[in-house]
Amino acid sequence: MAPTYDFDPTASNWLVRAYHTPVQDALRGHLSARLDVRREIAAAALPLPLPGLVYTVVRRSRLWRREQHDVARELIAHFADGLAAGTSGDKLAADFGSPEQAARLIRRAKLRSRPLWWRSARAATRLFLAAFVAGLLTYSAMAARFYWGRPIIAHNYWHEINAARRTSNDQRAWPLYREALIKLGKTEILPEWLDDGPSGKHWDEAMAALARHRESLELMREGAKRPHFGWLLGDPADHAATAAGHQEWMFTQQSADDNEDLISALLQGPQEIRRVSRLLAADARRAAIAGQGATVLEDVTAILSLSEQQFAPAATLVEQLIGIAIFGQATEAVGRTLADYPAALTDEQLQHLAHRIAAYRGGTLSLDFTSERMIFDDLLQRAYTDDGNGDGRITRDGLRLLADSGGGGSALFSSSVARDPKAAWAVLVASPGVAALVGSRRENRELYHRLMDEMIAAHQGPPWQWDRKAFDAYEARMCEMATKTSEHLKYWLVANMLPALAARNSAGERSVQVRDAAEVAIALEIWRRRHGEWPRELAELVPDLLPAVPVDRTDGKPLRYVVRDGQALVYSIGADRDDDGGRASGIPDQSIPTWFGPETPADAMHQPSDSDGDWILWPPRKEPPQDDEPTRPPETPGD
Amino acid sequence: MAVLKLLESGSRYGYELVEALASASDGVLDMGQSTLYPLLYNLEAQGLVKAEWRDATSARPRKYYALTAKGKKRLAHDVAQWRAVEKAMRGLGVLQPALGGATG
Repeated sequence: MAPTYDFDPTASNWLVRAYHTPVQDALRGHLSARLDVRREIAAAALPLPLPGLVYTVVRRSRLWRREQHDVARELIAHFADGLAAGTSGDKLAADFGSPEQAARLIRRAKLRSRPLWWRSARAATRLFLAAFVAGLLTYSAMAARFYWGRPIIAHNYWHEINAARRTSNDQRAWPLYREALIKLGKTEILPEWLDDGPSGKHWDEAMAALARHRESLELMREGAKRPHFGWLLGDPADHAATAAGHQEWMFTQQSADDNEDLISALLQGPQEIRRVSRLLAADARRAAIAGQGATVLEDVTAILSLSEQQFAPAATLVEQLIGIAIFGQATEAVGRTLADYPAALTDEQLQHLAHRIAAYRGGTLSLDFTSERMIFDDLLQRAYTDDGNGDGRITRDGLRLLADSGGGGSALFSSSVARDPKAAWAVLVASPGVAALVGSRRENRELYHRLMDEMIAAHQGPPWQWDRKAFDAYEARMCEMATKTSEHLKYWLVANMLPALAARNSAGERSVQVRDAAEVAIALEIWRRRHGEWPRELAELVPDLLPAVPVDRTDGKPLRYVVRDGQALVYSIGADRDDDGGRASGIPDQSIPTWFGPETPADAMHQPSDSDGDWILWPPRKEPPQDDEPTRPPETPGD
Repeated sequence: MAVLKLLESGSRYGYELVEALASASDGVLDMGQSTLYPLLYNLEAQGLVKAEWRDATSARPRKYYALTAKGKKRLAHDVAQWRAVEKAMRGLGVLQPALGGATG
């Protein structure tokens, strides 16, 4: 049976005519409809099924109207010739073969005849689409790989740090400190409240508070005699003890077993210790005023021990900085006692104090960055997959962690945004792309530890011998990571987590300077007692009272010393690095260097803008109360 | 090549070519008509033939195809190549029985 084809020759109105009219005809105002294939086929009056066959071939060829019209005319002529030769319409249709195949082949052949610009545009479009599809497929594969990845938290650094600190209970100072803190409650006593002596505004209240908390003071002194701080991360005993003492506010419910982000570990113990060290310093001030040298010595020694205990194995940088701050309270207490109440301490007590200060931390006041490395490695294990060979790729959790860690990371991936359903899709789509730009686990780990190693090596020896080139290289690398987007993304974690090593080491240097100044102040007082006057120069203290004149940590020269108006003055040239003859800066603390080490013009950036003047190390200047400090002891329910 | 050869003697239209191919080759090259026109369009796209509508010799217009210079050159090349192949086949005795009309 001969095939049939649809063909409706009647569909024609002015719109159809306009559609099939060439532009040149239309411009002449003549709707010729010359390109109307239906009309052409109908006019040929071919027998069935040929009109439908021609129309099917032409329509399926999907050519331009002009091309379709040309093909239609040729096929009409072809079949007309066949009919004229005596062949039937059915036979011609059968001999013609498949109209679908004909349409496909005709289209392919006709497209080859089209203009070069059209073929170029078509090739470009195809290329673009192919690239788009390839990109889409690649991105889909990346997305699947990204969302499939899960971090493997293999280490519990809380336990590792606690294991390094664990010791027998009778060696731990913390249980005693904790008890002292529970008894102390929220009471805060600042040493400077006693600066004005019995005539001071807060004297009576401060004295009453010290008397009330005598038990806490004793516990602190006892704790300071123990060799180890013994404070543990997420220690359940802290919760239990504080709950029993109704001081739940002191500790959150973190537990080392929960293995949360190490960086989120709350250091409540060391933070609270600062408060009790201030209590000890206040008591030392009280004792100095009362002429109780033994108590001054006991309190200052306890503060020194308290400070030393902060440098426990795997101590965090925060703990170490707290240790430095507490050490500053001890030297401040010594300096003030010597300046205001020198008679409070006997020669023997002064010598004892000098030896104790000299022995502080074995004389080495450097910082340890082991825990910082642990914090970084802990973040890595929470952010990356683990291939078992130290490498891995960033995960969805990792992106969130990076964003939450701040420091310029895209807020799009932060936890708060991820909870916003409006942003969820954007995060879902963008995450694999961003992840592709973030460096691998190995790349980040290697860079972090390499930079740490380089900077620690650069800080060997006294500051004036620190490696200037290493600093510059480090600064340049950090700057690159901060400003170059690709580098910032690749080493996002490194850029955010590397501590300001130069600043931290400079904090250590400030400790060295105040320690040396305290030694000099004690030696000066002993000299004054022996000779009835101050020495003309510090060299006269050597070797009887000092092994050598300590150096100014800013430039490596001997510490500066003058006697003015009958008062000895020990000072460093300070942040501006020029000798102002012992003149203090106008604004308190502005002359204290935030940066030690070899000086270049670029170092001016590290110094306060109003740093003119010297850093007066002894006698300490009395600072007015700061606005953010309470001016009187707060009343607490426990008091 | 067969189509080009048929056009060597002068221009022809589609149906004429179909008939000529069928009769000149004893039906061996009787191709489906649906493939003839794509073939012609391809040759046209390659510049081997040129097409022209003529209305004068018939009551209905027909599209005539004629060899171009390039088409003639291609035909000569293809014929020469075909003859070389044929010669090689004869040398191997492959074509002799089938094309034996000339010898027996």
